[in-house]
Amino acid sequence: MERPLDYDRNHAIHRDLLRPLFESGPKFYGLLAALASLMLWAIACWAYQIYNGLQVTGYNRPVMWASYETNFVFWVGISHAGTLISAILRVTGTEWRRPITRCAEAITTFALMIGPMFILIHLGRVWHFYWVIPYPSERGLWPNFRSPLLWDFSCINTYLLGSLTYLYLPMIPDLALIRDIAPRRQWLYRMLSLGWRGTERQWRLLERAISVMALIIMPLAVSVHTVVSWVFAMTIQPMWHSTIFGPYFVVGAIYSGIAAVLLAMWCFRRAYRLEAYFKPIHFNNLGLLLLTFSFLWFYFTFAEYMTSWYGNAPEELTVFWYKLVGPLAPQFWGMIICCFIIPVPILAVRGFRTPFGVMLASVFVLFGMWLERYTIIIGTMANPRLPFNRGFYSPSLTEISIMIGAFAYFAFLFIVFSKIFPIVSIWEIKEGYRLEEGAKDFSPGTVSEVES
Amino acid sequence: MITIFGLFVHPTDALCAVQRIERLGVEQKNIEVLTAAPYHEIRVTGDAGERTISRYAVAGGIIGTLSGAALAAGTAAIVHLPTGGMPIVSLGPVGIIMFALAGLGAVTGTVFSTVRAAGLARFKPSHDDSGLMLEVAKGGLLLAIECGKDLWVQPIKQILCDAGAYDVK
Repeated sequence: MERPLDYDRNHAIHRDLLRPLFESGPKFYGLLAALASLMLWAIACWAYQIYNGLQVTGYNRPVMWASYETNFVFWVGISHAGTLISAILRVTGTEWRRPITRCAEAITTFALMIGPMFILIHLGRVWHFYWVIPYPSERGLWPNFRSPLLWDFSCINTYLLGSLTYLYLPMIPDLALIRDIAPRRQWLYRMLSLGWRGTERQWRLLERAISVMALIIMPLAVSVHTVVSWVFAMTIQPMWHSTIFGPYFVVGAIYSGIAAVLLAMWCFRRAYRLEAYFKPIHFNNLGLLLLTFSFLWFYFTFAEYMTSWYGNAPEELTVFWYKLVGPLAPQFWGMIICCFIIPVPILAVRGFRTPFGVMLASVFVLFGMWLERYTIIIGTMANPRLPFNRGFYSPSLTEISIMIGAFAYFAFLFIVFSKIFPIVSIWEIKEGYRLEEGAKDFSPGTVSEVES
Repeated sequence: MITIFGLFVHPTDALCAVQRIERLGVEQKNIEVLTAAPYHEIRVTGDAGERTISRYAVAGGIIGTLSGAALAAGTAAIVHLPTGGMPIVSLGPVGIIMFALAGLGAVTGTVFSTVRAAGLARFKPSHDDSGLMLEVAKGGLLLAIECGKDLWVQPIKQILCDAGAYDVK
């Protein structure tokens, strides 16, 4: 029997990309156990907070928004790049996107699951979370749609649903493939693949659906972080009430999101030996994108601080100096160093733009962007507009534990995901190879030649 | 109805077989090409109904926009805030809720139309091709032809063999 044309290549792709789904060593279980322990510790700390109230945190008048809000903004920011990058690359038909889209889309989904969790944690009495949902209640009041908090609720939920769909739709053909060749768990893949058969009609419809979803998801992604920024900018607090906060947050979000995608790619490349898929060119290209955003971020930061300083309004300057030379100076300068001074030389010099170099820059960017969120929130909360109301904040062990638990939860979700679903889109890789080869076995007119 | 399957290596051969089978009188809707990755050069179905997805997305977006307006503006109009008994329907917030729900509607419309048009969520295949799907996964192209007439069975099998099918069932 003759073998299909792409048999050997397909076999190699299946072997490389499906192996992590069905083979797990002791290192995997050890890592999972470590992450689960951190998560359990965080859950215990949260239970402790629920029992004792928010007094166990560092929250204090007037700093009533602090680490939980920092984490909320940080994670929603991380969620940005994934789907947005994937959508932009798909719409523009960028060929090197193929191995990275799945990873990027998964980041968005998981980050969006974690970010809003901090709002629930911050509520204290978490069982009252449904008060924010618009419904006619016995209190005789519907939630006020003029509150940016409700805009956030609407936009984030829409984005989460859109991102989940955008992750799931392109995965259906791969799930069907695994259903047909998997050694076990076939019931799961049979259910998730929705009876996909791979007919020409289905392929055409799926490709159209992915394109439509990409067009829907891009404005949604931008709106989400704009609305998150408006939670701050719609107040009249110093250094929050800024017209550029929307784009400033969006740029920062994409910046941190790209870094998260790169870090995840590097980890999977190492752990699952996917060097043939996550190639140096992917790190190089995304590294250049990261470099562009580092300059954009610095430009926005400079513009934001420059106008505050030049305006010379006392309440603005109080926050300004509090960040630059006051108690928040280590975090502020740490942010500048991690977001600009360290990554730029690494990313600008071609020789340093290796997978390891780009990963290293990404780690600094992620840390720096967390500090950025922290300084934005704490700086203003500690120095609000009313001058008699000043305060100081430092996070408690409970908050730090919950934050570490959230990072562990993210890693846990991602690792479990990669053990159930292929982390690289198999059919897109195959399609890419076929397109790369050109029409070796087909060219217009071939049919008529065969017929004649 | 009898279904005949032919496994191919080359897309050109599969396409050639499709053309010959169509000439025999088999309707286009009864011919399917199954692959594990999209083959853009293969066009068997005339109109797959791609525009339906865009239309549903737009329709979903419009319904979402109207729902958002009704929810946000309606709430403000029905539930008066204590501001002199007059409802406050501010355009900015209403617009944001409309935008979010427009996105929600568009996503829902896209998913619904894709599942419906692509015949997904039907867990029983229209004919038994499960034994051959493993070959498709490996890179083969499976041609599935539903025969309306018994006297077509042999000619179709012959066409498939002549076109280069490496397995015919």
